[in-house]
Amino acid sequence: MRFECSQLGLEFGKGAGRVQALDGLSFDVKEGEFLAVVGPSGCGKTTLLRTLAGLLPPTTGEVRRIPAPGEESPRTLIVFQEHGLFPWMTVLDNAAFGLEMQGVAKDERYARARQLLQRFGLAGREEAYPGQLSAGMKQRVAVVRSFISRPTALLMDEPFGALDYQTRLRLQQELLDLWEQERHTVVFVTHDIEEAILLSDRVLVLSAQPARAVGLHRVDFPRPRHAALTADPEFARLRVRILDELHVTPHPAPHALR
Amino acid sequence: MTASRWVAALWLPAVLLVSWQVLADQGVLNAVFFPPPATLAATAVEMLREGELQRHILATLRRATEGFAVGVLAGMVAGLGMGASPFVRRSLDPLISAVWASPKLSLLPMLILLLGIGDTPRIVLIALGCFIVVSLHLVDAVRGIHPAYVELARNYGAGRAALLRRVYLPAVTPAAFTAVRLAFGRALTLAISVELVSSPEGLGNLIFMAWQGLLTERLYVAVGVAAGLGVFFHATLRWLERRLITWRADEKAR
Ligand SMILES: Nc1ncnc2c1ncn2[C@@H]1O[C@H](COP(=O)(O)OP(=O)(O)OP(=O)(O)O)[C@@H](O)[C@H]1O
Ligand SMILES: [Mg+2]
Repeated sequence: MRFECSQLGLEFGKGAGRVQALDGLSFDVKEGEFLAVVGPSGCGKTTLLRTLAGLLPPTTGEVRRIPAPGEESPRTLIVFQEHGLFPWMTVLDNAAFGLEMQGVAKDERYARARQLLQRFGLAGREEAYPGQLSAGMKQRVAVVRSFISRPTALLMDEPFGALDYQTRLRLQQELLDLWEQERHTVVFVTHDIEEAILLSDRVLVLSAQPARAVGLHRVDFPRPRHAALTADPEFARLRVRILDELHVTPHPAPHALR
Repeated sequence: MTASRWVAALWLPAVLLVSWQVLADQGVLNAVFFPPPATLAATAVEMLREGELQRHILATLRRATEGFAVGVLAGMVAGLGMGASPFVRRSLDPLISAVWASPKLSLLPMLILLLGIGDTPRIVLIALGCFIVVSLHLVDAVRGIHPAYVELARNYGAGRAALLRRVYLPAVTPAAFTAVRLAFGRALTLAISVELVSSPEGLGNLIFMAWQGLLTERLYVAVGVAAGLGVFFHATLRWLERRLITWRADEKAR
């Protein structure tokens, strides 16, 4: 699945309480691409993902979701930043929910969920309820659920935001390994510029609210990648450029960012 | 329950009972108006031996349960419907608010005119009380479901049936349980109130007859039994609730 967004604009509410979240965003997400999105808090990243998934219709412009040739059941899944797990289901049922909706038999979906939960360090917590988990554990369950459901496009909203640095590094690696097997299209929202560069093929930089595109960078490091990459001088240069863009006053979105 | 909880729950009633007994024995309390607990216990045993107390208790419980069953069922359907559809909610809201705000007993004469003499109007009145409690709780519960959960389920391809079974129903279960517990209390109080004004048997009738004849021992026994029933059912339903609802709403919407 790939995406073509042209002149995306989105407003919440009407009149005095009106909030413009997205403004004239144009960009593509290519088939099998890992696109990272960075931007200041509250700029409209979550809103952008919901629009990409078709959960929120844009006020202006359009999102085109184009399935790859031969792709029978296009599935755009979001790993939500908040309320990502059903509090009334166990970890196992939460993780297997996507498979359940696809009609996979109980034994099989539980077996697959257990396997992936273990890989994400959640073995032994299958019967726990989300209320008994830490924020980071909840995020991991949500990541497991999305991967297991075999999406054609995966939209992740700061999935590692609540993790400590070491766990984060370990799970980034786990994510990269998994993704390299699947190679579905990914849009990955994060606050963390290093994470964005380390994981992605391109980094889209957004301005403060309303979100406008202020930069789009190719990341050419070969895969498989490893955290050691962060020490590379090229990596550091890219990081500084993005930091710059996040701090300068945003200028109108250049139309030629594709 | 741990021992300390039992102590906390029982010391105050025990102190009251003992003081009552002592004050009555000392002649400080008029034993005709306030017969001491020991006398009441003897009266209760006597009434049990004659089968009179059981008969009244069963009559009240039967009435309460029938009204409760009908009212809870209707309340659940209406509550879910009102939660799911703004049209249904706007249509039922004025009626429900009106009944909610009026003393239920004041509706009894009208119900008798409508349904005839007999047990039917009494049970309908009890059902009405339960219906109000349950429907109001459920509307709030459905409307309190965070839209993020619905969006989440939809994102994974959940249709209407799956949404109902995996999101709406489990999400409102805790509130539904609370509503059922409150409704049973309401059913008991309403049953006894109805019996006070119109019924050949039941705890309410027992109280009324005892009051008419100034048979204070019987009066207090009946009041005590009614209170005891309330405590018993409340505790049982609470216990059941804790056993059945294993998850805690960590991410409570609202
Ligand atoms: N449902 C909504 N109704 C009204 N305004 C909203 C709604 N959702 C988001 N907004 C507003 O839109 C803007 C963008 O919100 P969004 O959640 O997309 O930001 P974000 O970039 O994901 O922030 P963060 O990095 O903190 O998660 C904010 O100003 C927010 O207040
Ligand atoms: Mg967000």
